[in-house]
Amino acid sequence: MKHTYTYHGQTHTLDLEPTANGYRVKYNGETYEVRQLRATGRQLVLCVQGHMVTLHTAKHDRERWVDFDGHTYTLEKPIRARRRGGGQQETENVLRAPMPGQVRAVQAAEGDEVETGQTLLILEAMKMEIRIQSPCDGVVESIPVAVGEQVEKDQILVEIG
Amino acid sequence: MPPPPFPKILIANRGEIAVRIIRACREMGIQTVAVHSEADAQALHVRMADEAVPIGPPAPVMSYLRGERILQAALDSGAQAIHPGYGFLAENADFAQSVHDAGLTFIGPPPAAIRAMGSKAAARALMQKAGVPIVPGYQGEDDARTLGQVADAIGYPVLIKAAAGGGGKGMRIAATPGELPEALNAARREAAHAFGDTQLILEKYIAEARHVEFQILADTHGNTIHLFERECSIQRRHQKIIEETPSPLLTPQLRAEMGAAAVAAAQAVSYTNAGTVEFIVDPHTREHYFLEVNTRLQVEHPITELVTGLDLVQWQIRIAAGEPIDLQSTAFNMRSPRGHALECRLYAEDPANNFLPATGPVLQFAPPAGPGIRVDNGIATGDEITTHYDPMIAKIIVHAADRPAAIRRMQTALHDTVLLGLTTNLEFLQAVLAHPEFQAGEATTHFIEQNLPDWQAPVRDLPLEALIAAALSENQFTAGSKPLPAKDTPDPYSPWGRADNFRLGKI
Repeated sequence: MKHTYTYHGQTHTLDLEPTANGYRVKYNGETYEVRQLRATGRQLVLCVQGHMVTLHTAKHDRERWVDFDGHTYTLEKPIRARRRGGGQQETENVLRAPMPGQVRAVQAAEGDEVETGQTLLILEAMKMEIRIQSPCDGVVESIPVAVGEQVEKDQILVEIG
Repeated sequence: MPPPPFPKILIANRGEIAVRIIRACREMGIQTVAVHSEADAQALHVRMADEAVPIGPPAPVMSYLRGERILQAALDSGAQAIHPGYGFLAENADFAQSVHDAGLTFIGPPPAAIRAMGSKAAARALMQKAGVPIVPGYQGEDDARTLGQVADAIGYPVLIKAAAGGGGKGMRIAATPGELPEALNAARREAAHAFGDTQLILEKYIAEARHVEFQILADTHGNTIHLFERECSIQRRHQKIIEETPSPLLTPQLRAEMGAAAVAAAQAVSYTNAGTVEFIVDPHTREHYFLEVNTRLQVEHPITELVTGLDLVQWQIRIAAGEPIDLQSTAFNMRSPRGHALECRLYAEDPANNFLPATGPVLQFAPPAGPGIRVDNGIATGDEITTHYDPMIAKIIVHAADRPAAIRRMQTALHDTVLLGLTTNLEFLQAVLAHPEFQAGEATTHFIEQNLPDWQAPVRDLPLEALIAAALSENQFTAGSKPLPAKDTPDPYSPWGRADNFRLGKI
């Protein structure tokens, strides 16, 4: 099963499949064997490629918090719009602004075929450049914002069908 | 166990200091009464206390500052004494008086001492009379000529301040006599605009100052002692972030001199109970100047406890009950602090938003543990940090044999601290601890402003393990986790065979 998260504006997709002994993880073209040794609701103890690691995780709405080796990482699950009606087979993906900012560049147009990880739009916020990337392969349905536009947090930037 | 000094105490505070006081009371067999606003109904201090009394809506002015409601809660609950903690009503002389008038004991100094130290000008005058060095300054005729003469007498650089003001408005520095006229004019203009009052005062400007304070303990039998110093120079926007003892700056002689000055300051106002005398020290000349007296227990008191082995909150309670400090005991006869202690204040704040307080749920707080590590926390997993109150999550405190060991211990403790759900200043604290100037023990009160003014946490590459953990956590252990796997057992009552959310013990 694919899991996609955004982290500091970058999209990361992981494929996780249960196996007889644990899980097989595919990420960025590499495959890893993972065993879950302990999951207590606070702590996760995993064996990743033979190394035992302890992590703490928590979630709140779309936020995923992970503490690993003394550092905290905050990931976000991108919003997926519900399937429309019975006839629609595709899942819509709606990309929203992670924080208020200004649209610096739009790098795709309606109708474009896009791939997972492709940068569709660049947002400038808090003195950082945030790349809004596609979480999946698909076709751009609409980009309801324009270059130079000030957007609010969670405002829709791109819709992918 | 000896009988408790008071059978029951009400704690007029919240958060970590309320938890601290409750812990001290429990050890002494004292019953505790917590007060809480509506926002704190399930707060840690409420859950730890024996009784809890609601005192109003979230805003402090409607709850924790309502002296008369708190006093009534104490009377209704049968408490004999009230501990005010720090902040809120701790230095409110009227509240202290009302507690006395109601026949209860205020765990702190007498109202007269609180009043005497409440006015900075009055405090300075008192200290000067007592022979305590104060920052050379002048308040009086403020025409340019007079101020010029005063500045020559004080010595440059001088700090020009608005008599009516604060917040840095109407403040200017003149480094040389040539700079004085324009600096005076600029300060006067700003003061007129900000306060409608152009009166100016002059003070000697100590460019590189170190903040060093002394812990005072005085009983009602005439014994006043100091329990050494704390250095609190790591500050951001005048808020302390890291404190330590002993101060890397102090020699045994300076410690003795300043300690004596602190005791003299306390005696000048007939102080009793715990208090702190603050000084600024010029690191170049080692000259020290009285700043103010804090007539309460301070946030950073734990580091003094660790290097002396004393429980200051318990001593506050004993002194308030009339017990004397046992000057013969070894605990009160230490020549110098034992080992080195450091405290870091862990705050919920957003470094990407100018370090303004962050709010939100504490999804998980797992404090560090190990030898010489102490955590004074006011929150626990499941609590919420709101805008109503100080966003302090916990104080992480360490004690070790010497300063380098204490720093390493703190770095490890912070590394092991887990706080999920809110952004914190954890990485910022690590940046301070790693800085060569801090490591050399040379940081002044300008340290952060000079070295880490626009600090941002570096964005780290996302480790694969973290990504895997997030993905694995999607389907697991949310509230009401999956049932335990059924096992082959002939026992129909075995919990392993249940299909509901039965969980053994607390996780």
